[in-house]
Amino acid sequence: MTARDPEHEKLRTDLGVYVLGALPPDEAAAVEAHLAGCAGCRAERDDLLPLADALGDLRRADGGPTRFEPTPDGLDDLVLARFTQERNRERRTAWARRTGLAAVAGAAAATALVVGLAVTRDDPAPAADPVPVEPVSVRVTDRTVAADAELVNHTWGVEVLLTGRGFVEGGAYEVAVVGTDGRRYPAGAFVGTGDREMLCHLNSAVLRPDADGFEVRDGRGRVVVSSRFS
Amino acid sequence: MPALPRRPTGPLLTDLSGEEGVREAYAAHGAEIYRLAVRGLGDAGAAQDAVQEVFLRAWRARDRYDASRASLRTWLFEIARNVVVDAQRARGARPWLRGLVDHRDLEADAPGAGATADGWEALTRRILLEEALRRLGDDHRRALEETYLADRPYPEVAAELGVPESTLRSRVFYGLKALRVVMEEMEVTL
Ligand SMILES: [Zn+2]
Repeated sequence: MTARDPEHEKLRTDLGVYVLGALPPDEAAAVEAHLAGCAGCRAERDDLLPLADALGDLRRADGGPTRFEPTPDGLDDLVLARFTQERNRERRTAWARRTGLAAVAGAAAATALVVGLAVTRDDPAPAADPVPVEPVSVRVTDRTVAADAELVNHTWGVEVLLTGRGFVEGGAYEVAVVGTDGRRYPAGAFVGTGDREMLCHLNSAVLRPDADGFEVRDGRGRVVVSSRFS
Repeated sequence: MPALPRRPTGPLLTDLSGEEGVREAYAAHGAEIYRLAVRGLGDAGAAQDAVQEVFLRAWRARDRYDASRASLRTWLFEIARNVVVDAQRARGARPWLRGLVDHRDLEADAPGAGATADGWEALTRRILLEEALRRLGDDHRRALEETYLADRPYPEVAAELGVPESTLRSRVFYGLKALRVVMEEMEVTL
């Protein structure tokens, strides 16, 4: 009996049914008699046995055809959205930590492009921004607050560089860029530093030509600083 | 025999630091982890939350992942186990194995922590085997499912599939061999 022999081929392919225990007894006896004298088929059987064991485990557990729960549509988007949200939160937290702030309000997390960095004025100057800045006038409605602002026109949106002092220590402030359409677009948040001067980088996804101004609101939603861009 | 379905396996992705890495890790293992979570939690909604949590934790812990010590799948499965355990605890439900398909066996064994670990092991093996089956060609997969997993007589299945019984036997044989190759590709040891 040779490897190319159709009769041998049948015995060999029956090894599948054999290891799964489904070969009728007379045929199983014939296969076993052959196995006793054929090392090639014994090796084949030994390769198949672990698979038969694993399938047996599956059959015992499920008691029927396997169930391939399809992955829900859109789960990939949810995974990425959670990741993006968390990454943004982490960046804000890192910013807050660097500036010694306790916490940063995060309601606008998912859409805000997130505050990248804030340093106090006393720090050594941060690396010079190669992008030119555009000074804008600000209107302060809280007498304890002093603030100045400049804009940076990034390709992905306008950034507000806000310097100021007198924002209530530990108080949360939300910043929104006002679009030419009149809507408010989140640009991040910061926590007040009291008498210490602070510099916040507040990024929005609004392009400079579509940006008309910005607003800083305190925890009660009152506008404390606002600006109309020229 | 029909050609085995080939999936790009490529080198294991280890850079989880950016969106692209998370996206690729999900594409490679998201479906498996979802099924693990469904079995572990017995609830599709909770499983979706769990999958998000797994990739989030993976991303947070990305610096601790060592590709020379474990495959990305092994590492993600470990995280998935922790997520499932936490989700069960948060629910205030019975021990995490409550939702397992085979929780009766596990409970019959021993309800201790060892049984829990073994239970997770067994569940993981099953999910991987199912994933391997899913990657087989239709003929091979159906032959194995209908004859063995559904425990039906060969003549009946052969008639239903419209092939001679000898063909069905051959599909079972080559299906097992293909399954072996697929599991090797998945880097799963039996
Ligand atoms: Zn032989």
